[in-house]
Amino acid sequence: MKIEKTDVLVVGGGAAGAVAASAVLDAGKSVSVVFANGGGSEICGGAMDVMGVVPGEKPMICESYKEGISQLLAVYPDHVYGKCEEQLDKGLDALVSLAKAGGYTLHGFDGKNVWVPNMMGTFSVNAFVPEMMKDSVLEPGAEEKVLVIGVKGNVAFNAVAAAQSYQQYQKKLGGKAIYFSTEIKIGGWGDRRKISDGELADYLDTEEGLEELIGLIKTFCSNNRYQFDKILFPPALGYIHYEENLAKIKDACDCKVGEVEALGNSVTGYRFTRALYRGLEAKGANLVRGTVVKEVETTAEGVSAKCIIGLTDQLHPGKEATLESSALVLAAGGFVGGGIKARHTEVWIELLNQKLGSVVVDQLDRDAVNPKGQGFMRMGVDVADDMMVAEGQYNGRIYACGSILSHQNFASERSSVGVAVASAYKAGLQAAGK
Amino acid sequence: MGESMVTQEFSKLYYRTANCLTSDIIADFAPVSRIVGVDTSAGLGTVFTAMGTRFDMQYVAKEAFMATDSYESDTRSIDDTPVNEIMRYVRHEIIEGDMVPEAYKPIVEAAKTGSCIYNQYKETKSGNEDADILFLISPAAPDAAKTAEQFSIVSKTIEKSVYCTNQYKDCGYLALQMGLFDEATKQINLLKKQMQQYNVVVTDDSYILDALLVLAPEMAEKIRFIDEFVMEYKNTLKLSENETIMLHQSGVIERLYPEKSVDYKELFASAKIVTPARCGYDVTDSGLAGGLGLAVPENLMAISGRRMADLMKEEHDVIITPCAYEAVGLNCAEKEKVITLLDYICK
Repeated sequence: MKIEKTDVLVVGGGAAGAVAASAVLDAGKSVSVVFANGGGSEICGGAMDVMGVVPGEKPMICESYKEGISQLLAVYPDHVYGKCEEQLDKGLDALVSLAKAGGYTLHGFDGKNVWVPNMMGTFSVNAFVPEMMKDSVLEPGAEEKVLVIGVKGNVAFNAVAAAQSYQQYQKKLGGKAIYFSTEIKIGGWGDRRKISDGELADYLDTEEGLEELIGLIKTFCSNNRYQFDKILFPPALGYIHYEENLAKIKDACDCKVGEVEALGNSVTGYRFTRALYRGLEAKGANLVRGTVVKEVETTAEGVSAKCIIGLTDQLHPGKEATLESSALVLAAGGFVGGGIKARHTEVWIELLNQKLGSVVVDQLDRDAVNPKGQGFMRMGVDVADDMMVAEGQYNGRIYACGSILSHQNFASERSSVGVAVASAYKAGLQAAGK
Repeated sequence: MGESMVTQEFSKLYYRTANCLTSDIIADFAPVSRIVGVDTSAGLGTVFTAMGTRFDMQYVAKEAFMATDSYESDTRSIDDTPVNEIMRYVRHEIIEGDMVPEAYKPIVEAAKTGSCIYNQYKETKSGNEDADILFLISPAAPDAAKTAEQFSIVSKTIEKSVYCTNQYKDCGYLALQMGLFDEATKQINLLKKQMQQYNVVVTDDSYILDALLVLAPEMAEKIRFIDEFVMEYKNTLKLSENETIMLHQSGVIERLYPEKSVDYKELFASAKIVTPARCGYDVTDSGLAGGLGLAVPENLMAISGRRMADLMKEEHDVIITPCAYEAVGLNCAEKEKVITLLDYICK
């Protein structure tokens, strides 16, 4: 771990932080990325949404994410995309490249959104999907036979219920597939009745685990009268050797194979974030992991960030250190990632010591999937057109990006990665110019 | 100082721990959970389901002692929940309530009295007490006399005298992990007196290092982990190995004291250093967990066996670890022999 002065300091270890750091490096400047963990990206599903739905009384589903952004800006003119849309392509390229360098392949569809089956038995809209889900994408009109495989004891994914649900749900999206399901019993972990995605993924990372899985799938398929065109599996084909495992399963089964999208499990977030970190290191970023920034001060010349290095608890206070740079990019996440925190009913951005407002029960819509989205999600830090934090006291040295920004609702819009990378690339470039 | 149980209301933390550990994001991220499983039937993990109220801790006695992951879970807690700290508190409550599971009773007793839990332990002292360096040998070392001899060779090469001993056992580490702070303090006090005589205190046991830094923070400047010490003198020691070295790092160092982490590519400049995918801040431990892992040997063997599978996957000439305790844990898997850094540089 190197504690050294770099041109720019990025706070946050998720997709936004990674892209901001990449932009700084593209500008020929040095960067340190400080983070405790991957924040919201640590629990992501592994695919990338850019702009899926324009929220409103009648939500608009976006076929193309770029057209979707235009439609969104027509309804919400002050949306943060209005400030950073022009950097979307560069941001997406940066993220895809970092992930690829770290061994995580992402595929786009010429600007179109696609639908990916998920663990809930429905379909999620995405602009980019990982190699692990490329074959899972719904193909409207394709009359294919799809086998959904579950693993006995893995209650996180019920293959029978999921297949029945996909069968019905696909009709809304033009799907014409026939879904089948089966539950295989993997014996590698003894006689335990319940297993989690993590245990399954860890077991499938071993040679014996993968061999057992392939043997079971082949046995099932050879004893079945149908030739399946596609096999869907829960998102648990390994933490580490996932792409290698997928290729081996495809070879053995001679059909398309893919995972369904996770709605946050321990496996997909690990794959995605660790690939980004490997990509960042390969590109030359200085990663300061396991470190929390507690306080930021700016002067006319630069920024200093007081940090605590190492995990902290009652016995371990961590080690204090100060990181210095010319500018800082705040990519600390929003409500999920930890950049925005609640103090009772008040909502604060702790690092800026900035109160955003209050959220009380009366303000919340009881309908969790209200098509207009929850209003409070639009709270966040306000930024100027160049992504600079719009507060006088920071000497123009602090920029912000990602879900900590105000005027966006990534949950209802299905726009989290798009907003993150577009705003982060712009913030990174601006910070590098300081 | 980060927020901890000292500054947060316990009941709030308790439920947050239960929630985040059962989210299928953190529970999986501990070697124990990955091996013995979590009961996800009701969306709750086995280890934490019975923690439904703070008064029912006795029902999770076994699980609380089993949840020894050296902070791996904490690395993924995105809302700063000190998972390990909560489990330490639960262990303490269970001990206070005299509800310690049978398998853990000898370990708890040893922690209280400061005795050693290892059958092979034999008190060892070598060198003069008025030496330049105090070297604290891991109580888990299979042959403490040999370890002392190895470190004496190192210190002779750098022209320093050394006093080696394992008389302080784990220096209060297990007592700390059970929330027995008075016992831990008692165990460290004698050692503290002795430590004052030396300019440098070195240990080859990352758990001892943790205990020293927690219980004697005023002497932190003179405390070194073995690889940190070797790094300081690498030019004098002339380390010129050119093998492919598979490195198993210490979770205690990488997560709690990352500023002490040593770059082995710099330490062994002419060797090829390889690490498994789970390394650095994500490193997975041997499962011995400072001794608690001994109580359920089948779990220990499964966890260390899993880690060994990762360590053996890539081509290498030798597997080394700086921590003598971790070497013992990994060797419980009875696969390829893992040697310590000291073994390696003295070979």
